Amino acid sequence: MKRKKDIFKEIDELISSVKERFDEIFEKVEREFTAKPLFNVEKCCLEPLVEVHETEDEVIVTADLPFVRSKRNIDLYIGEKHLEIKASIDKPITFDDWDVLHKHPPFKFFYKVVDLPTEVEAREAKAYFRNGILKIVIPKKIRGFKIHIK
Amino acid sequence: MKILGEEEQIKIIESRPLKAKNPTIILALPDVGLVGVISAMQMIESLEPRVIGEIESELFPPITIIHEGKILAPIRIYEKNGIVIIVSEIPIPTTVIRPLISKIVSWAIEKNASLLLIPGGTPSPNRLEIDSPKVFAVATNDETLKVAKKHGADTFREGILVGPHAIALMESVKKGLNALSLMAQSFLNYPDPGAAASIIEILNKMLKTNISVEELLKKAEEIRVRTRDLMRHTSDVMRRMGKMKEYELPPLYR
Repeated sequence: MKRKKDIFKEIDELISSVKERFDEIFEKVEREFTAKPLFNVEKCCLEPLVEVHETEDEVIVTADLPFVRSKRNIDLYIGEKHLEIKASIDKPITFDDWDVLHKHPPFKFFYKVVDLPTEVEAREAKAYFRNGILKIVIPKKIRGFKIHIK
Repeated sequence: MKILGEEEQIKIIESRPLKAKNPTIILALPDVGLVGVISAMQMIESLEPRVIGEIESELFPPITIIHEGKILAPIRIYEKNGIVIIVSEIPIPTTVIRPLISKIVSWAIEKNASLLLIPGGTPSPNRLEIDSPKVFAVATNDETLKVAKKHGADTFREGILVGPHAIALMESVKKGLNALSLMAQSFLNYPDPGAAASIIEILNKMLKTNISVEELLKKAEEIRVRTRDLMRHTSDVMRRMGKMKEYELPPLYR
């Protein structure tokens, strides 16, 4: 009986070790093949870090926009399935001490098109900007009607 | 042929001998809001410690840092006035975090470290509304926790830790090392110099240092721009290790 338990324990360990290896391989593949640079030299723009969360009835998007001084410097365009963020940087950013691609253009704005996870009510979106963080709250499109129980 | 375990594939190389007899070792690995790394980099800029070694492994991504034309290892060890700082400029792959930290804890014991201090962040969903992030402490012994509380930290009473903090604390308990995690309320996926400033304020009191918080906050935006790539890769690693569990309530075990 004891031996049986040991075998199951060994199998469990083997499975988790194989899973770890697969995770590691997928992690490497994803990192090497899908990571794009966070800047565009031709357009002189930086891509902001962005987070997208979903609640039951809202999609919440936040973006990190350092060196953007005011909400007046931000343009937002929203469609049913995507959100476009463009924000002017207070003073153009240069990376003079960095070589390669980063060095050349002064970067003048942040730009990113964010894919939304579901269709939204674009007209009802609300945006807030505080300490260089932009937060956009967008209600999800209602797909049905609430049924009142009698 | 001997097959090496993962911990045996990680080497701590001391290029200069450690001077301190009972050092405080600060371990800063990329994690929530890069708070630990930003705090450590500010300490390095302010204290100007000397590089005494590096950590190498074939398990790490093949990256070398070039600074002012000099070649630097991505995980370096610094020392000054009894303070040792281990800082990584690369995200540590999820499968390597445990053996790396286990190796560091064993090395800290070998060097008779008085304390392993792990600065970092704890993700706060309402961080946008917080002007002065609080710092929470978890320690392997009550005395160390008392010291952290005396200098302004709150106790982290209930919750789940995932990642470097979790492993560093568990390994330290297992091996009998005095360890303290300091975690400031932070953005999860954005570099957070404001949270790092809260950590520095407590470190200044605990270690009797005078690291400028104002200087750190003055260049906060520049730090946020420059650390975007490291943050993005760290976010990928955190997602894989299930960092979102830190938002969850702990299981009942009483």
